Amino acid sequence: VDDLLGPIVRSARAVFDSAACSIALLDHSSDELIFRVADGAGADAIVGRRIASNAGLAGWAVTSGQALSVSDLRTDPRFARDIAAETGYIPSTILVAPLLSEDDALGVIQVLDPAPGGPGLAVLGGFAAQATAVVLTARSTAAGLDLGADLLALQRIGPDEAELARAVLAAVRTYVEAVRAR
Amino acid sequence: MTRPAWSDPFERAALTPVNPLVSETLTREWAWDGADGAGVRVAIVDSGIDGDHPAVNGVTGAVAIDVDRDTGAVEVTEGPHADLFGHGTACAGIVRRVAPAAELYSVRVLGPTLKGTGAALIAGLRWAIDNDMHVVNLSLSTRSRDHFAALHELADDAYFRGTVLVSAVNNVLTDSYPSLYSSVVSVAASDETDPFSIAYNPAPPVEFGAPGIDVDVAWSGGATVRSTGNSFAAAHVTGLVARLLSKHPGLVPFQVKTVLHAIADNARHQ
Repeated sequence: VDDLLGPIVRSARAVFDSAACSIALLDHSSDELIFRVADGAGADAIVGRRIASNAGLAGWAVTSGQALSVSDLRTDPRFARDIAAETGYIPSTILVAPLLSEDDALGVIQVLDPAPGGPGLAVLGGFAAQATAVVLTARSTAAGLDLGADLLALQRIGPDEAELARAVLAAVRTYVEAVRAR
Repeated sequence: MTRPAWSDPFERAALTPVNPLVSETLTREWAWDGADGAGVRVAIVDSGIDGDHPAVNGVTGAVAIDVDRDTGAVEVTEGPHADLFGHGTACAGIVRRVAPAAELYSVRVLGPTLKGTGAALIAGLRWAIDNDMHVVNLSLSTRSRDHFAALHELADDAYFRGTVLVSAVNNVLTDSYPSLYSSVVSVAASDETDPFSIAYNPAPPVEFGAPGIDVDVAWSGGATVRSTGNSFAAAHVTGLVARLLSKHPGLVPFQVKTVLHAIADNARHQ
């Protein structure tokens, strides 16, 4: 599953022109979020890290099922200390969205320090939907479709947010329908 | 500017004028001038409230809803509790800013475990209605169709009992409940920064827009952060409704909606 999630964080990081992007998946047995893939600043340090499922903004997203954007995080000394201890990189702004499957969250996607004026939370929700499709598919079937190539192709799309959101959702829809048809 | 989903109709350039209920009475001055939310009970159904945060300045009551992860049994614990994430404190701070004398009640439905959040949301809303809250701020919603009927029943119950439910729509493009029910005051973020700004969307499901983009909000640990989310737009509207009800006690939900529509930024007579 990490091989398919990797292109998602790379695509999201490119689309948001951000410092970093990561996906953490929920481990129900331990009630922890485990960072599975990351791209950008602090990526090597964060992959494999475990945090409590009710910790911080990631915990908020996975617990509440709500996306959120928070900036000026450096004003929160507790946050800055925790993040610095883990990755050595302190973001100013974080976008976070849950990987939602019906009523449960499977995990969370985070974008650190996106460029100003970039896509909104609806687009991040599109990437989260892609990641959800990947995780559900990996869990339900061993069948492999080349979703990664489709995701990488998204990087060639222009800056129009609505076009991007439509493309993201179309890719997910196509993928899910293909999986269901097998 | 990072926009939440559903907020596009409230983008300044896209806002469509609406025909107001023409009345010399229904003005903002009539609605809430001189009011401060006194005597109005406001429930914040969220992650808890840090009552010691200076932006919140105390809560009147607090109750924590927990769902047993094995049996599904709901446990209701009255008494002080912490805000596990900061989000409920953020919403409470906004309500306090708009309606400084409102009586804030923290209804914590996001506990330390992940199990049963939909059931906790239902139980928290039930508590708020049964305990005669005048306004309920719901930043949370569920995508589960399994909870659709129960939440719809609660929303109708609140409507008929005169409890105003202010419900934020999701920050991504997905259906969620109770935010899409017609009986609630559904809210998404607008571009505006004036805390008394409100706009009406003539093409619902989301009906009202209020400030929710890059809002300075109270956060856990006594911090203040800048955040974007439809939740914060809903909290602004909750504060406005509290002010309205403190000046005009007894208004029922459809009257509240009528006033909000009449005084909207994009009503033609403004």
